[in-house]
Amino acid sequence: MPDAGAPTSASKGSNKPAAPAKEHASESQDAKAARKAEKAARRAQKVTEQGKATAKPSPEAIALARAQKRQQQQQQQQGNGSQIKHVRTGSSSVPSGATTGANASSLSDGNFGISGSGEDLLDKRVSLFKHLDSTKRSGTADASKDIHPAILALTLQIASYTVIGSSARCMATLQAFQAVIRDYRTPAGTTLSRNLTNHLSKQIDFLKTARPLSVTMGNAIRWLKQEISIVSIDVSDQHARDTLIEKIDTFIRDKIEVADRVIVQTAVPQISDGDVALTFARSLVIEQIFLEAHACGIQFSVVVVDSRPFYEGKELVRRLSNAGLKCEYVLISGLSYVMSDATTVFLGAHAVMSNGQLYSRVGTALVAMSAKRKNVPVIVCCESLKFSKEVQLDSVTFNELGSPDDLVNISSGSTPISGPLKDWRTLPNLKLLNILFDLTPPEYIKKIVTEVGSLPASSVPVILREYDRI
Amino acid sequence: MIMAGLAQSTAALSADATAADSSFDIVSTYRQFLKGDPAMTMPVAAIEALVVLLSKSGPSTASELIDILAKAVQELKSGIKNSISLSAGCDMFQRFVLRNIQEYGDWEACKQHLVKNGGLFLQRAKESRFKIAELGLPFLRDDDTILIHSHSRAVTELLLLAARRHIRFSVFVTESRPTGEGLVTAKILRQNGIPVRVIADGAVGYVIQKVDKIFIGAEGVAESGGIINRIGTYQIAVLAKDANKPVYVVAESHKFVRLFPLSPFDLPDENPDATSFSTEQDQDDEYDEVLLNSPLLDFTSDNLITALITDIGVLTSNGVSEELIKMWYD
Repeated sequence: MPDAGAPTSASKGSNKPAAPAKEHASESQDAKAARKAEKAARRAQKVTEQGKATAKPSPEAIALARAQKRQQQQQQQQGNGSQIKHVRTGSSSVPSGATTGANASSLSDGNFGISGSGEDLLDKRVSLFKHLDSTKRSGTADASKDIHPAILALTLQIASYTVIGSSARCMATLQAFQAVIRDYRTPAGTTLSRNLTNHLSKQIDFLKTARPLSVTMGNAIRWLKQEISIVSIDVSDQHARDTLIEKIDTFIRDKIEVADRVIVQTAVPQISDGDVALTFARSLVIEQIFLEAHACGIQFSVVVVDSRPFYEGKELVRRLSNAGLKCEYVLISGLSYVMSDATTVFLGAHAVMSNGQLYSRVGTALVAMSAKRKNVPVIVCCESLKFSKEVQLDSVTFNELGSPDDLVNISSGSTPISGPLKDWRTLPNLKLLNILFDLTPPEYIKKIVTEVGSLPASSVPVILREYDRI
Repeated sequence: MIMAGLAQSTAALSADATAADSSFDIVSTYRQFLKGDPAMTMPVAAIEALVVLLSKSGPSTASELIDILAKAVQELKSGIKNSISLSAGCDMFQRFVLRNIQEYGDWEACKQHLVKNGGLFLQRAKESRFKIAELGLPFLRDDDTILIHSHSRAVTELLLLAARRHIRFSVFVTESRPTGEGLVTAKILRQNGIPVRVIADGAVGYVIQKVDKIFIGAEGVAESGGIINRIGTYQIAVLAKDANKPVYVVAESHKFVRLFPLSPFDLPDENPDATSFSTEQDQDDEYDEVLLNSPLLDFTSDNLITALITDIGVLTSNGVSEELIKMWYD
């Protein structure tokens, strides 16, 4: 579930943006390795004077590669009428050895995933989802000098799913912005209220290279920019910085931490003795609800439904059973069996759209539909920060693609094991789709519990209107 | 002088209340209001009792007032068995007081304003039933066959107005066990020349094909737009849904309550005996015993309701939550 913390981290601390220094260090080592590999690739291409497609293609490079591919296809069709469209040998101008070499190197150091050459990505995209950015997972090498180290670190953490879950990502982003603001000095000839927004925009653009911004991040950024724009030009820089940093702290406390506590207080009475609460993947607020209900002495059990490739529920089920709760863990394929026993379904959210559609970890819609069919009430718990002003009717128009290699990996541990689909990039007619979110229609949702009260899914726009945040 | 003004403005309200004494009993005052006027609904009586309390007790600070109110509300809620619509009235009045306290800097002026407007508030609450009748009138047509359940003052008011406006319709009234309140409704309607047939609760499915529309009252309207009402409402709504008959809820907006039940078991008034089982023979022999153990309220979810006819307009169930949000979050 979107709220989920770091799946690999044992301590709660590492969910938080200011990751432990050790982890940070290893991240930047990885980053260095990546930079080295990239440089080597560039050098090799310079020597052959054919630096047109690099291991991590820039947009121009992709465009070029696309053009070349088209040319090549035409040639092939004219020439031998080959029926195979996606030939992987690369265009004549790029030595195939260099491409595969770069691929292999990024595979072997495997820090932030595997990005093939531009062509491969283009070829292997599922046509219905071609408009979505597939994960680029850029390194820190191409970061401009303006990018703050805290942002660099966060970008890596988000790209590697170390920081995962929309609330956690939002908090991490805001805390990174605090570091940015702390180190920010207004250049001569401009004012903080004008220039800081620009400076932040650069940081945000870089953050976006890891994953698209979450709705919470978008809302928080909009709020922060608004706050910056109203900073008076008369106050000293130091004072303005301190105020902004403090405001961010308040925002995190009010919109996430206190909100979560209120949601927990509201949701716990929904659980009574003998209940079987079912949840999907992992949401921090749901976890707190279960722990609190258990602490209140309510006798109930929890079914955690989980799915590939993140296995977020494993961490949840570990924490719950450590706390002494009766738990059951099942993959989503066994959903229909466990749903018969469930009395209530609790779901977290990545975002809730204006039309009441719940945008959450892929699989949520399936769980909600199955619950509806069995007449089990579905309760969504999320902060009102997750309410989006946008309307979405399907999960195709806007979504996020994960790396297809995550699907190929059949290991559930940290070391990737490529299964039978190891060579999927060379297999013709095969495309992999690793979609991260889906959309649950409001009919499946009985109520949404937020810090401003319980509402039906249809009341999301009312909250947005009444609490116009910006 | 101010106290004199206060006494004057509330003289009418406290006329039928107990004689002023130092130990003010909110529960008995509430009961007296309810007994004194058969047309009085529970939330209105609660508000009325609170206004009297406000005028009698002399809180000197805003926080003292809030404290006194909160205590009285708690006392009322715990003192009265069926407290759903009552709590709607209490919550609304508390909210009203809180909002007004914030608006006024001057405490004395605020207090005066509260007592005066408390009266106004009551006035409006009482009048709302007539307003509803006017708003609901277009839903009734000549030759309609209507099904109503139990006894609801708002529904009765609407039907009586329709009869006065020369709309000719006939009414099925459920007997509505265990209270048998349907018989009360039947009597009132017949007295006013409306043709009525009383049916057993189990016969709703039998007559539903002949029915054009269904009007039901509400004890409380939940945040989802679902309603809490006399037992048997839910099954009528389900039958209506199956037969594609419109179900209109007729309720005053002061019955909107900040509850979000998913099932009748989420209601504060749940009857724990209602779902316990027994093998003892003699339990069912006593017919009255069975009825005593029967629950009195059920919950009808919003998807079974076509529209809500209220004094603030005809709303869909989504509209209820919107109104509640507007009322509560500002």
